[in-house]
Parts: sequence; C-alpha cells; structure tokens
Amino acid sequence: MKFHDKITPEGTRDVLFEECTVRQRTQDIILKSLCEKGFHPVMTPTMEFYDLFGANRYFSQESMYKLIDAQGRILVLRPDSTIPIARLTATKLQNEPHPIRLCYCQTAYRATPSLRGRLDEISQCGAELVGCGSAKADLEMLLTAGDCLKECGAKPFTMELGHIGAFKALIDELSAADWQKEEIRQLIEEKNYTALSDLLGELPASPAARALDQLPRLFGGADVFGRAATLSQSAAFQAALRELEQLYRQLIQADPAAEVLVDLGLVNQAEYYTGIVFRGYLPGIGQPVLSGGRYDRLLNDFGLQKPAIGFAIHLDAVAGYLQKTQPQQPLSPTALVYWPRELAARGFSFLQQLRSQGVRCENSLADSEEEAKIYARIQKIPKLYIVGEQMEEITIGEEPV
Amino acid sequence: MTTKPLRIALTKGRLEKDTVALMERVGLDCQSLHQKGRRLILPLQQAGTEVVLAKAADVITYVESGVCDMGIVGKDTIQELASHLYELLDLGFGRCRFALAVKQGDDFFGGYGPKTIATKYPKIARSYFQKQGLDVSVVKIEGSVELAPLLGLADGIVDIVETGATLRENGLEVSRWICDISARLVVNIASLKLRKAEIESLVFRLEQGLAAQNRREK
Repeated sequence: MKFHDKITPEGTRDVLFEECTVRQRTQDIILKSLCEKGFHPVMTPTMEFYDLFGANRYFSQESMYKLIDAQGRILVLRPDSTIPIARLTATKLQNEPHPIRLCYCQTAYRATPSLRGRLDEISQCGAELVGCGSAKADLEMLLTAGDCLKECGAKPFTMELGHIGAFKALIDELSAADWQKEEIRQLIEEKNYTALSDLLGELPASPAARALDQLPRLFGGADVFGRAATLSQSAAFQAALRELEQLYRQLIQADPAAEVLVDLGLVNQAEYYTGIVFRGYLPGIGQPVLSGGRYDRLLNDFGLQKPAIGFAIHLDAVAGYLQKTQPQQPLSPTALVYWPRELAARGFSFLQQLRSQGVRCENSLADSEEEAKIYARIQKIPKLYIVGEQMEEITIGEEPV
Repeated sequence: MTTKPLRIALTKGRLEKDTVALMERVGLDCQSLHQKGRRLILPLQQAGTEVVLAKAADVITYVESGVCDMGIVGKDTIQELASHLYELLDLGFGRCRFALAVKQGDDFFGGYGPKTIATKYPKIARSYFQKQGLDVSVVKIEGSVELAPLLGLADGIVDIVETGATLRENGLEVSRWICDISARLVVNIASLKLRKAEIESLVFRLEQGLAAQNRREK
C-alpha cells in the first residue's frame, strides 16, 4: 500500500504560478544586483559530508537531514550555505587575490519541529565578502543587502545593527562558569529581563554583571549609543560600540531614507559571529527577512586565516511579502494560434513571429477551428489566429460557451 | 499600508482572569473581554489593540509566527514549545512549580534499573534528565499523570505542582523540584523592533501595575 504518494513531506511544499513567478523574479533581481556589484555567483552541492557541519558547533545534529553514501559515510543536506562557501573559498580559491566577493541563491535544509508550520526548505540568496576585515567592507555589505531588498521592491524595509563584540567584551570580563555564560547569552537573546537579572544577581556583583543586565534593553534608534556609553569602561566594549556607531552613522549618511535600528542584545550565534551583526525586517513578517554578520574565524576552521562578512536574504519571506503587498495578475496568454495539421510549418513560423513581437501566445492543440474557439473562450484568451490560405484574426467575446 | 492593530494573544482560562485584572489595574478598558460571548477576537477600547483568546500552546504558535504581536502564556508552555520569542516580563501570577514526583517512600535515583517517566511535558522531562545524565524513557500522558505510577506504568512523573494536594491524596510525594513557573509576557521578534514604542509603553504600564501590586502585598 502506498500511503504517501500524493502528498509532500512535512516542511516542504509545491510552489505554483504567481508565487513561483514572484519568487523567481525576486531571485533573479537579487542575483543580478549582486553580480552587478562585483559578486561572483557560485553553487555548492546540495549534499555535503556530515563532518563539514558536524565538527563545528553551529548546527545541532537534530537540525540536519542525513543520508548515507555508498561507502557508508554520513552526508547531510546542507543546513546553510555560508559554511560550504567558506570550505570552497579556503580550498579552491585560497590562492586567488583578495578580497573575494561571492554570491549564491540556493536552498538550505533544516529539520524543524513538526506541526509548527515551518518550512524545512529555506531558499536563500546571499553574498559573502572574504578577505577584508575593515569597516568599509561592513558598510559595503549593509548597503548591498539594503539595495537587493530595495531593488526587488521589498519596502518599507528596516535594518537592524548589533555588534557581538559588545557582548563578548562583557561576558569575558564576568567570572562565571561556561554553562552560566551560555545561559546568560540565551537570556539576553530572548530579552528575558527577569530571569537574566535573577541569574546575574546570584553571581558576585561586578561592573560586567551590571552591564550585561542592561544589554538586552539597549535597542532602538541612535539614542542607544548614548545609553550604552556609560555602561562599561571595558576597552573592548567601548571599541565595539564606537565601531557600531560609526557604521550606523555612515549607513544613514549613505542612505538617508534608510530605517535603521540598533540592538546590542543581538547575541544569537555568538560562537559564529565576531563583529557586526545585522538583520532586516518587513512589516507584518514575523521573522527577520535578512540576517548576516561578520565571521572572521570561520575560514580558520578550513586553514585559511581570512576575515569575512556575509548575509542571506530569506527568499520565501520576501517573496511572500511582495505577493501580499503587490499582488500580480497571473501571466496568461493573450493570443491563441490555430493551424490545420497540413500547415504546420506556416503556423509555427507565424507563432514565432508573434512571439518575437512580444505577444504571449499559445499554440492551439485543438483538432478544429470550432474547438479552438471554445478553448479560447474557456481560457479567456482574447484573440484567436487561424492560420490558413489567409490569416484570420478572431476576437473572442464574453458570450457563454 | 494600513496599520494592523496590536494583537495580544491571551491564554484562555485561569491566566485570562489574572491578566484581565492586571490590564484593568493599569487602566486598560477590558469591557469587551467581560462580555465576550463566543467571540475569539476582541477589540479593546484603546484604539488599535485587539485581544485574541487561545489555548496556551497556540499562543506560542501565533506569537512566533507573527500573526499576534504579543502573548501571555505560562512558562511551562514556553519551555515545552517556544524557540524564537522574546520573553519580556514575568507577570508573577499563575505561579506553580515543576517537580519530579514518585510514590511515597520510593527512591527514584536509587538502583540501576531502567526508569520510566510519565508526563504531559516530554521536552521538559527529557531535558531535565539529560542534565542529570540519566537515561529515562519518557511516556506522554494526556490526563491525570498521577495515575501512571499508581498503575505501575511509570516510576515517577514530571508535572506541575501547585499545592501538592493531588499528590498527597494519591500517595505520591515530590522527589525533586525542577523549576518555578509563572505567566510570562512574550513578544514576536520582528514586532518588538517594528512596533517598539507601542509595545514598550504597554510593557511599561504592565510593569508599573505589577510593581504597585507587589508593594500592596508587602
């Protein structure tokens, strides 16, 4: 008995017509925009060795789809694209002059908890800039990400900046066990003010503990910098704050219309990121549609000591937003071309001629003129061309079939 | 684009009463919540605010997905289900504790035989024993969990304990306290950023209301 032959696995779905069109168009615009900005497109395998992701702490075992290859080795469906691109850069491109700008548009696979309505196939368009650790590179990537979204019409768009260095400076200063530090990080990520205060209250009072307690509350506009300035005297903290503020100011100068927020409590994936982190939001979309940051140590895992920064745009979310806010009519044909079998050559050349003039036309597969007329009426195709000794053009009316 | 009302998902039942009481204390007009009939989406007097009544687990689903901006739900449900949420406020009410309970006199941690735990909260139970480095098999029970050890299905239960009366009446006792729970205010990640002013002003009012009550109780 076949039970599952008519449905798709949980977390996956078919994408049809308008949605498919919007998604492809969005993807094309983003990739084109990235290529024009000097990013080179790459593709990595859908399957990679488990070791590539399993050896690091960035993805849990449970979150990856696994397969076994013919030699009994464990493979995974890539849960992300940045790590394979880091592998590729550190191996095949290790002798290329830097900086290297790469872009991609591919699907990542994550095993998400069931029955929560989440997608396990995540389409992402992204860019990575490898080999430059400067603030100029940070700014370039923020502007690039913003441009991509603007160009595909995803407005009004809000950018949010953070700096993982601020958190790291404080947590390094704190005397606590590693598991406590991880718990603190998690509570900051969740903005769980109460539990964070309780946990920090159990530790010996220190400037770092007091500062960490305030960290998740430090989000908003430019006012954050003023509020954060006196939070800690730590040189590393002050340096991170300065870097963030400069970037914030430059971003606003470069793009005065940009809506930019700051959150010093952006501490997710703290193991992975090393500097600036950022996210993008669209109104009414419950999750960030863009996420990125600086990851200067990742390439080191593959033996290449190069700084890097990257971002990914969540295509499903952006396309979903565009479809909701700017609904498009489905692209249906505006003409139907019918020819009797013996006039195939003539008919086909006429069809091509129409298409070259930009008319969206469909080849009629009907067996008679009458059948072609009925079909055109049902499909609401406004024009029917009959190819014969003379070309006949019929306007299809609204009258019932 | 027209602005969506700020939607608050509220856990139906016991937390609902306490939440409405708190909201009224801070000056929100909850008239519509008192005369709700069978409606599930209730606009508040305050312009642009809506209350959605839902079961606890659904509050998490709605807030995580962003169809509701905020929610009020027990910490037990958050621990069991949530992953991408901001948990801004401990509302203090709906207070109880998670505990491991066994038959009176039993030593759950004694011996080396395999142990079975019955619970409505498999994730919480599993993560607790994982931290203890203990292999247990977890059985999900939907109703009165206390039955399972009495019938010999499980060696212990992980459940919410309020007064302990149900445990006592059924010959069970608390072996270990696991954690405290109470009602929390959760917020969608994007909403907090995009509707910061609205959400923070509401959070501030609720915080003031809680503080005032704490002072009264002291």
